[in-house]
Amino acid sequence: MMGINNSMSLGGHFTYLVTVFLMIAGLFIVIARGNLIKKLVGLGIFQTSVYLLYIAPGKLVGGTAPILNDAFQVYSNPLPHVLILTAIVVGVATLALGLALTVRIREAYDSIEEDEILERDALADRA
Amino acid sequence: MNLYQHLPALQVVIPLMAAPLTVLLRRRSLAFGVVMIATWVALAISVLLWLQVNQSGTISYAIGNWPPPWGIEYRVDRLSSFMLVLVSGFAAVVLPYSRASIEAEVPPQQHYLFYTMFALCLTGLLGISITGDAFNIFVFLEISSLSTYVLIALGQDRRALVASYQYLIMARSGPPSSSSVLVCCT
Amino acid sequence: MKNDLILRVMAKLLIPFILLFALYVQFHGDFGPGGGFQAGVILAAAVIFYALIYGHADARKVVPEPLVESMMAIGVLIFAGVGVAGLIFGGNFLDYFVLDQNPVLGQHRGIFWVEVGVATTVSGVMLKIFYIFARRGQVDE
Repeated sequence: MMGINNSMSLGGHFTYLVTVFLMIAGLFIVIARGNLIKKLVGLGIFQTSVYLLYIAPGKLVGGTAPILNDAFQVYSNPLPHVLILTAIVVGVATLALGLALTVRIREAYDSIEEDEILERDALADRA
Repeated sequence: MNLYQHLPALQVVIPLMAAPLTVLLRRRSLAFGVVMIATWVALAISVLLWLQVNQSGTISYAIGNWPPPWGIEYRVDRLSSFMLVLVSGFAAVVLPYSRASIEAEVPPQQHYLFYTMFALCLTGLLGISITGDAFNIFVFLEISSLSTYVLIALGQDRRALVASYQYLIMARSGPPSSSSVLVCCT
Repeated sequence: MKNDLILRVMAKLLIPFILLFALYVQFHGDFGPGGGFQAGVILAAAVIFYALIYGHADARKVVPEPLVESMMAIGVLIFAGVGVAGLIFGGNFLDYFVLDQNPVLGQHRGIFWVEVGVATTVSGVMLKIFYIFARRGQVDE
């Protein structure tokens, strides 16, 4: 008997829609904005969408926190959380590195707009 | 403790432990000496692994003694042992000659940081070749990426900073999106 | 902010509890939310709070810069040391089963020391980042 597959509805795919929206928004910010710090913000949004993509399927319907207890039978999957925790820490380290680089670029070029930096490089090349 | 059977783990661990040791010993000559010893020992271990694989086939080493689906497995076959010899060979040859150029280009109080990042980059690259676990590849890829951003930014010109920043944005937008495409395909 | 009475008093009241909470989160990693990363960040947040209220010079006297840099390295060495201890006691690298007669207690011990290493490194890194960024803006430090 062909029952109605309720995961075909738009509501069943809500997390994935949010993921795609955040991913495209983050990527757009990285590409379209010239300010170095705004690029880092866009990168952060993009990475957040990837974390969501991996963590959301781990929560089972009716599942509880994955700590063994006799009262519960269904547990959420802890494996995606472990993997994404590592990825989040790497993302934080990258953000710190990017901001440190931005501070140094500001000191060297006196600006953090990408087009002004390229302009000053071209001027220095011609000189 | 038979060191010969633990070679796959030691291949990655020895450069990895050389990096914080270099941070603790801040003197330039000591830092250079520690990383030099670690790199040459890594080369020796990779040659030994290559000989072992040629003799007895694929080596499988379970980290933490957990069998492969649950634990991380280091798997050395002919291709990975060749890559290990290549990477550690290049590192062992490049490091002695890098000392002169580092002394010419980098301020003296940052010399030990260069050697730390070199050891970490070597760890990351060796780990990518030797591991048999997909997420472990991601971790070692990140280790080598982060250390490479720093190595690029240590250059003399101010354009090195911009180059390092651009590499950071490009490389960071790459792996998560490609791996998510992988997930969606399966 | 050193001259603001309310901020000074609240900082003095709160910082010990923040440090204690960091230790609580550290040790309760296997029973509830917590573990090394989170505890390290809370520990660093306490010292950063102190630096914000009382000034960077005082914070550098409490937690000097060489100590912070050594904390980063020592944490990594503790983690790798637990792995090498597994090698010394006869198992594989990072083998926790051999760290004690009872394998389950060996797992407990291994995880405990690994989390100590992680917390040390994470708090060292957060403090180092704060010190470096804070030093750059100051002319006469």
